[in-house]
Amino acid sequence: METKKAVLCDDDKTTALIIRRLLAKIGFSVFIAGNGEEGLALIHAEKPQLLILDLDMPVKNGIAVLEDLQSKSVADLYTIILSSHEDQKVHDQVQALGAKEVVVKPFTPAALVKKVKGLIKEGKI
Amino acid sequence: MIPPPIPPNETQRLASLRDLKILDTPTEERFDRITRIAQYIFKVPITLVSLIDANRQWFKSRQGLSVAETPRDISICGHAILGSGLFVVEDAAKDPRFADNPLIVGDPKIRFYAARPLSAPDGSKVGTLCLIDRRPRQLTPEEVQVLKDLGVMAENELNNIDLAESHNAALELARVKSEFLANMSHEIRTPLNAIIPLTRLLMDTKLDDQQNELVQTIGRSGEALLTIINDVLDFSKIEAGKMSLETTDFDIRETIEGAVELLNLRAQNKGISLASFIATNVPPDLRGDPGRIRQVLINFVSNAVKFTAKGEVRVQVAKERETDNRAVLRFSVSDTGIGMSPEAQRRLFQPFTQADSSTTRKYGGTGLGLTICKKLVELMGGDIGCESEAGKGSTFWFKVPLEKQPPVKMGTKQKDTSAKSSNLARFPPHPVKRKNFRILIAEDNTTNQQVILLLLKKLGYTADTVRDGEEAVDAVTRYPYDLVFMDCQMPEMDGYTATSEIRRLEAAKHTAIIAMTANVMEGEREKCLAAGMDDYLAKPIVLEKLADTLAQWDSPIDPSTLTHLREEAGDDDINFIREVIGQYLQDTPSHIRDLRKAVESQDVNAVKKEAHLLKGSSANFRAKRLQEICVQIETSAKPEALVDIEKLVGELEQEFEQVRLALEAAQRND
Repeated sequence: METKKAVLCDDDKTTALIIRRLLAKIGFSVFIAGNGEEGLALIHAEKPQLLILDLDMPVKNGIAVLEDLQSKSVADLYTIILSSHEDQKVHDQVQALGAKEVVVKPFTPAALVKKVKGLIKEGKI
Repeated sequence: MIPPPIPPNETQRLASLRDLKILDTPTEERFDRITRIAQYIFKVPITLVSLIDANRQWFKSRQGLSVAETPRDISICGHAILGSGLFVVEDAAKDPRFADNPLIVGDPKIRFYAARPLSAPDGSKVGTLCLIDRRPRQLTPEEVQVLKDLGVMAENELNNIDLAESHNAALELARVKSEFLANMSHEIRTPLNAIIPLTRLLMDTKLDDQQNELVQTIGRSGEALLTIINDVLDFSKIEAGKMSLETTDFDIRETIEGAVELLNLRAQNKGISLASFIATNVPPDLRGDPGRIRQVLINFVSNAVKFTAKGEVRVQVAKERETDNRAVLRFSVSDTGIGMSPEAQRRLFQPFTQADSSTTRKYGGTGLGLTICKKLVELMGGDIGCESEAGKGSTFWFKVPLEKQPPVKMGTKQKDTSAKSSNLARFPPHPVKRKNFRILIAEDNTTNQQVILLLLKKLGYTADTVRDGEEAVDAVTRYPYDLVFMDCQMPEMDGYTATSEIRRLEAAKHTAIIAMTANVMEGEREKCLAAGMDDYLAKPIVLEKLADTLAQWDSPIDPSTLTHLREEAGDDDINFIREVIGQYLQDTPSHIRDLRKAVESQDVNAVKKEAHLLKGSSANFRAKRLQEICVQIETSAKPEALVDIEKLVGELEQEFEQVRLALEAAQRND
């Protein structure tokens, strides 16, 4: 089985470190970006199956990343949004922009891993 | 006919017969067996176990006779019980005592009679095992012996109440007793739960000398009462076989110092010196039940202080012997007190006795302490004893075998025992005002509610109160409490049910629930944990214990997040947790600096952004207060409010210090 790739876009390095470790544990190569711009560059370079994207980031925020991705129609990229906004409008907005899931912060790392495992099982990634 | 004469000890004899509690009971195989054998061996038509009551003879067992009793004044057995040997009438028709007896003239037409009298435990002859034939006969010497033997067997049965039955009855009695004690202790501890802590609080208010003395007396009496109840409970637990021992790692020196420290003040007040000596070859790191060792030591030392008017009390610990993994230690407490006579020493370890009854009057106490000590030491596999000379002083000692802790390997975690043993001196002298730690008290008794509220206030906390389980569940679902003190026995819905319900309803958040119960019987702790509670406080609530519990739960971070991370990450990267903590501790100060700069330059967006990031990264360790301060900063960041935010940033820095200390400690232990 080929190694799946994930890009993780989060400016909080502690959270990024945890998510990287947990995804690596279930077989992902994880690439970390500290802002939206870096994230986009990594997506184009690595062609990951999974993008985990924090909404609130410097330089280019999550919404901007989604807009960019939509305009370039990146194929087969499953996007999970990490957001501390519970606002349904924000959720609708990101889903309209092609994000598949929203995980509201604070989340437990276990919950995120469980979700990703479920997606693999369902053949979505 | 001569009616049977009344024996000289008739009153005593009848009392002994009644004590056997056998009259008018159903037939029993254990007696019938004997009369059947007798009937077969002697080839007689009638055999009886007859008991001579005031006016009748009643048959516990009968073969060949249909009546259950006959009048005493025509009984032959009435004559038989006058002596202690066999009573034989070879031909009743020729015996003037019985010739015209209706039992001989009419049915059952007795001619031959032989009986072996049966004694009660005190020796009174209460009945017979007798043989009756309708023709005259004689007994051979062999038959005499067999009748005597069967008599002994019948007598044994008479004096032995059914063993199985009595065993069951004893067990039932023990169960009822222990239930009664548990209930009583609950009932007695409930008012004590108010008296002891309220007295402590009262002592801290402004009192004049006389008031102070009165309050001190109330306090001492309350504590004495609690000690007595605890003694009685310990004793009943031991009696019911429900006392179990813990096995934990401990440092023997801390155990000794803890026990001595507790009684030092009492010794000082009496002008007695109290000192402890631990031999240097005593291994410090042991495994066993330090709580019980401490209990025995405290008992010895407090007795020594109590019975010593001047001089000194010495606590000594010596090593008796040692193997690779075990050591036998001898603990002794010597005093220069009143001492005891040899007779008094023999009674010492018996329940409910003291050296003599005048001691009880002069010095008080239940007389259970040393019995409990003896049982505890025996439970630990050790010996206990004392040497004493009246007027010179006493030495009480016990020896127990203890496991030695295996040597600690490099890099493995070492258990921190210091916190546990120094409980006594540890409650903060200057309570830190705790903000944002939300406590709920679920307790139906208003006095108890007040007590806990006052104690919490003393420790710098506030709390909300509810009166039953349903209200508690309701409150917890509506408001994110950090900790719930849950009384177990409440009307409507009890604490166990309420806890299960809260656990069922809560999602990611885990509300700490601490049981409060006066039910101190074995198994209660397990019951609370099984219901989903996190910890357990015995009533009456003691300030120190409460402070300990709060210190544990009101932590700047939630240590369970690290445990979960460790589990999720697996163990192939042992540095992972340290790395995560390291990352956080490295990033956070610079983010706080950036936040401060943003506040100074009045950059509202940058303030929000930094606060948001700090909130997110702190959420990984569930640093509740830190997160809350971040939320406050994020939501109140407006150009006109930046002064308030500066204050909040100050709070944030302080709280981060707490978080940093907690995380560094976790890092060290990882």
